[in-house]
Amino acid sequence: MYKARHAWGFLAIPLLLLLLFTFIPSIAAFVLSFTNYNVFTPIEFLGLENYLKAFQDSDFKKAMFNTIYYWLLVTPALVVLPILVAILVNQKLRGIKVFRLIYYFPVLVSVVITAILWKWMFAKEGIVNYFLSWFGIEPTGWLMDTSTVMIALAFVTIWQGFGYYMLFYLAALQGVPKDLYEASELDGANFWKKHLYVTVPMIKPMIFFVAVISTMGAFKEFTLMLTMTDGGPLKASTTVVLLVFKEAFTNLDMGYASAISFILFVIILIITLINQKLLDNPNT
Amino acid sequence: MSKSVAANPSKQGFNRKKLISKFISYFFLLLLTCITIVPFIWTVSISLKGQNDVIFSIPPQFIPNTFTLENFITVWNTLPIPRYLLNTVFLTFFGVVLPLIFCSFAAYPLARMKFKGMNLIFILIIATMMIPNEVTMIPVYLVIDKLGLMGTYTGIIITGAITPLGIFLMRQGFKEIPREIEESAVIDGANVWQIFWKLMFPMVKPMLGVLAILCFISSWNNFLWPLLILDDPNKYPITLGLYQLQGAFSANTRLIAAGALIALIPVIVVFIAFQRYFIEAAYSSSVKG
Amino acid sequence: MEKVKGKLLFISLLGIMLFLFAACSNDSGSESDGDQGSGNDNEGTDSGELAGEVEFMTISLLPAFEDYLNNLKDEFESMHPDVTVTINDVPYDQVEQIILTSASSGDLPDVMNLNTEFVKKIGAMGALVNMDEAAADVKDTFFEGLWNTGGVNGTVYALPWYTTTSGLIYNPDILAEAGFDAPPTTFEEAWEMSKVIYEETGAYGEVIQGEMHLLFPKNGIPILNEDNTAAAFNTPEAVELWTNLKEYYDQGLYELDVMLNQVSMAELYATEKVAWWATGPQLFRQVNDLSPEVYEKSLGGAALEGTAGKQHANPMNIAVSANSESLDAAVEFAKFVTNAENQLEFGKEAAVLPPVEEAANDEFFAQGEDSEDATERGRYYAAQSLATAENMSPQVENVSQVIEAIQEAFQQVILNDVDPADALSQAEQEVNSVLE
Repeated sequence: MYKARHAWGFLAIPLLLLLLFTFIPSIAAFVLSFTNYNVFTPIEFLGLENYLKAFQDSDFKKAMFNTIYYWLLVTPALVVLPILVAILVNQKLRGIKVFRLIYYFPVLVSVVITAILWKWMFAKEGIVNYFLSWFGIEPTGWLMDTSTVMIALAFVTIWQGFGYYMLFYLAALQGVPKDLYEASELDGANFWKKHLYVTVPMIKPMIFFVAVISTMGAFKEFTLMLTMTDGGPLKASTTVVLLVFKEAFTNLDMGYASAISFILFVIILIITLINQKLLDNPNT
Repeated sequence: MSKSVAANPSKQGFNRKKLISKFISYFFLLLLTCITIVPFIWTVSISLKGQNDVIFSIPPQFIPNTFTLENFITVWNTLPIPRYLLNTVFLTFFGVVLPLIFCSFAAYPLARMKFKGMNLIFILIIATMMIPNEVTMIPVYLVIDKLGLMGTYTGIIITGAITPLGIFLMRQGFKEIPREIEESAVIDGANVWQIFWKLMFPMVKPMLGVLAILCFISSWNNFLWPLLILDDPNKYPITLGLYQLQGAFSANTRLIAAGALIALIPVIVVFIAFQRYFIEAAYSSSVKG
Repeated sequence: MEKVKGKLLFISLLGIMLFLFAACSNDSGSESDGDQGSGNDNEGTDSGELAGEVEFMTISLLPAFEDYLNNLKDEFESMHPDVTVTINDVPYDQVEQIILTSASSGDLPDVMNLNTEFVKKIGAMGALVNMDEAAADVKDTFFEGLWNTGGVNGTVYALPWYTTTSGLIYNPDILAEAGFDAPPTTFEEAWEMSKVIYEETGAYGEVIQGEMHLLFPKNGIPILNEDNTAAAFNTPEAVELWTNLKEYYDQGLYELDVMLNQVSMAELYATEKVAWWATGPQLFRQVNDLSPEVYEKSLGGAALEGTAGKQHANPMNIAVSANSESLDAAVEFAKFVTNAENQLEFGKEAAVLPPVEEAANDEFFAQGEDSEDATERGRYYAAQSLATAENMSPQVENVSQVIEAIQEAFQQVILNDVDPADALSQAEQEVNSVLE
């Protein structure tokens, strides 16, 4: 019933905009990854030099490791936890709208405030340690220890992100027919069974979506690290994109920054494809 | 809503079970609230603290010793807050409306039509999401410059007029609509535009609601692009204006907190409005349908 | 009916888009695209009178110094009627991004307020005017040690604007509680006192701050060799210094949170967790912002001295874009902003110090020795050290990487118990490879 001209009609303006502000810049960045571009001196073509440099750069390897570690800490939590919260706030309870709003607060708080707040929370004499001391846990400087810094940052990310992804799931839950729940309740399913067998299959596309988005988010995160730890201590919280940022704007090496970005690009792409294979498998 | 609950068969055990589940729900709701509302309360508390009140103390002191509105007054008097807010509202309006339209335009054929090139376009769009913005920043800047949009709001608005994430999200929304709905419309003699506008567009309202909120937040907080593009401080949006509270020689946390709240309150108001409009509307329609 | 409405909406949207495009694409006007040396087209008329537009980029000075900057502009414009000055103030954290993007389109601000590291980086790439030549006539008015601040590879690319050398703000109550009646004067004394203060009061005394690499030059250990080609800090003195610092850390005399930027010194000092704070007196007021009570009882003093007896000065700089279209006017404006009179004025307003000798010798900076106000007294002492102060930051293009290598080596010692000698030779290797 659709003709090709319909498709292109809808796509015309969006494609023009994408071309100008997304595709062309991306291609430009890709081209620059083969050069020594630093804005000021004339551009020289370097071939694969930047890429070869990246594979020998211990800072890059460390950043790659940190990024994957951070992703593993953050994404599973951000895929699962918001489903539970969305189910929780999708009930018809008094004041539920207020709760939905409150859960979204962390997303609304500005970066500056987030950094000030959590540095203070995670300080050696901060609130986190204060709570943990009730359970007899020794205080540590969470953001000053190479082994805990990523965990602390992941916690902030999850805190900030669960309300965000809750919103996606909440929208998806609106599409689940209510009679399915009633049917499973009549079958005597408990809370967990009901949601495992009804909700999860119904919102599977959204789960995939959230997995993809939060993976990309985790791999591209750097503002949090920049404002809270500046990638330290000892580069233990330097993510790949933070490295990109520093190479580009502190060391003025745009070419190298672009090369790193495209290596990261390939890795995200592979993970996204695996993700799709895993979740799109028509087992259910 | 409550009518459908009352219509349910109510045995005795059923009511007790309901009560327990309600209790558990509220327990978790409040627990999560404690975790998420802390920064807000903390910000409010700092912004209301007087000069001799300690900001950083353990255990935290949320209630100021000397309660004052002085910080808000100082911020209001140092910066042209109403102008900044007005600028932000203008930018945010386009920052929400344009992506809603253009992302839907792009997503609709990508979700519902099978033609040569559709898959390739979608893959390209998703692929660009994986490239860090930090390396495309200078090329985007140069495009804006070449278009002669430096110093204009158009330059800011146009860069945010469509987002790959938004297209991805809306495509997801369109995909979930059953085929039969379109087919019956075609039988009724509707044209493509009518199918899109009258039938499909209303059906993705929950997604539109989500996208609207996302775009609203990112537009409202957009900071770097206005900074790079605008040259006249009178055109600054609120986030950029507030950065002036962090001077070269001073960093007054109380003022920063007060400024952050001034910028945050409109966001909360809009969030409430959007949530009512979109999520609730979709809710009732899906129950009816 | 509905059909028409839908189409109308679609068409009007298209219209809006086209309008937005058309309305703003009147002049794109960027003929040169980041390439070098295209400037100088309209520099002045035949009579030698300056003309043109000068864009002046400042860092985080508005709205606090709005009047001062506007006066500069007005005065300069009345001296040179054909010149227009526009002031553009930008946030500190985004300076690099703004400079790079504007440079990419060949539109760097004509006159820029830049920090020392960035001057060295982009100066070495040929983006800035050589001040040794362009400002040769005013070179002698600056303190020699400060003039070299913007130097890289033997050329100076910026005029030092306002500067800071350290003063000391201290808390007499904490000192008294530990049995002292005066603040320390040397690092050695400071650490001795820290032990007592920590035992008696639980507060810290001396702490390691962010610029810990400067402890080398302050204690007579050069960071680089004389031609700036290799690291020179791997010496027995450096090993001893770091061994001592590690010992103090193990004794609990300081935390690494300040160096790692997890907590600000202003905050620590304002909450009376530290007995003194060595920093530029222009920052003392931050204590007042956080806790007027603590500020009230604080006193100002002289900065601590290392064995070299020299102080570090960290000026903000004024640089001129090599591609400026009104190059002569821009250079003239840069000199104007940094001249004795305007420096003095700014020094009075912002509690900063002028790197120009004449301004620094003004009686204004000779006051305050006995002031009750910590800032005034701190400024007095800071001004006293100005003549002998110098910018100790390495004069190389890769200055950030050099500093980072040293700081990370120190963190290795503190956090991972690496032997100071090993850490130093590791850092030496790294610095050498950066400088290659």
